[in-house]
Amino acid sequence: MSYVDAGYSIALGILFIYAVALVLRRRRWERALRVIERVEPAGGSEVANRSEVAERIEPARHIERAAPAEEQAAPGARS
Amino acid sequence: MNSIGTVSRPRWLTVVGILGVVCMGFTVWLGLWVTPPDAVQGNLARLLYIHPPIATVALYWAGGVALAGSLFYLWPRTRSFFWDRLAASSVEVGAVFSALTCITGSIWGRPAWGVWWAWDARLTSTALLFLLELGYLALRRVPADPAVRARRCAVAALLIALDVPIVHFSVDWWQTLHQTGTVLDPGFHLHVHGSMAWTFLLGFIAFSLVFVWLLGVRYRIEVLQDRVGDQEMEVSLAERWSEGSDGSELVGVGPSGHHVPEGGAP
Repeated sequence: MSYVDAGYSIALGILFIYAVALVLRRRRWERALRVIERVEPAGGSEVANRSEVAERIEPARHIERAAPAEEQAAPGARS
Repeated sequence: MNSIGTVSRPRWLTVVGILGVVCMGFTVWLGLWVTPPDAVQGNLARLLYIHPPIATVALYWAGGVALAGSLFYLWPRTRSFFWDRLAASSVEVGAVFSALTCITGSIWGRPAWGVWWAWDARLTSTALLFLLELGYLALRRVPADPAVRARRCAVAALLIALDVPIVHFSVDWWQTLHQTGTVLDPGFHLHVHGSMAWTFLLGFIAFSLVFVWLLGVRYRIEVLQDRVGDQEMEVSLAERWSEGSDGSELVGVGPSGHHVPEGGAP
């Protein structure tokens, strides 16, 4: 194999491998995004889409805010 | 336009990719079989139909996009993660082209100069460009707040951009083994003619189109990564809420994570 053939083969081969690797990476991330948009939380019903996830987050935030108040109330309840 | 959520896959990018492959095919065909051997270098000159175009992409296109993206990110009025993602994508694609510049130059240098590598100013500064790009990519993997990471990377990209004029003018500033302008001299006079000139031009167009396509695909990966990160955060929050949706259990979870019965510790 001549230097010219080697140069063309290596340059175009590396570019081709990099392009294929990029496409595979893109597909993997697209699949990950699809999976995560249909994720099933542990012990809960299936979360169908992002808006439903957001609806679940809002009450969670309220509970987190309410939790310290309940902890303060707890000692009084014990006595 | 194919899209997932709000992450779109533009059709023009596919067209650019197909055009890039077609132009590349014609460049290889013209470069290897149609153009005549060079009067001085013989068939070895055929390597020059791909080496200067690859170097142009690595140096000016990738370096230019990375510099512009970083400057726009650092400038408060234009600050957006779009510019950060674009610069990061450009640096990664640029690193591949910088490596290819060194490899194809080395393959040409072995029969022309008798050595695979020389510590010549042009070669050394190009190798430094490649190392700086690897450093940028390593810095990007350091865990940090997205805004902090983007600012750090933008500053690193400016350092990469500083090396670009050094590579460009190295053959004028220092006595080097590497020749001066291959296609155009400093007075913009063309050195090549006829089918050789057309093959050169097509090579520049082909590698530029391939660069745009690779940049577009790489940019989309950056967007997808960010979207997955955001979604993971939302889902983990939703799962936390789901686990504690039974009110008595939520109140009864202690700081250590163990369930504490209602009414206090045992």
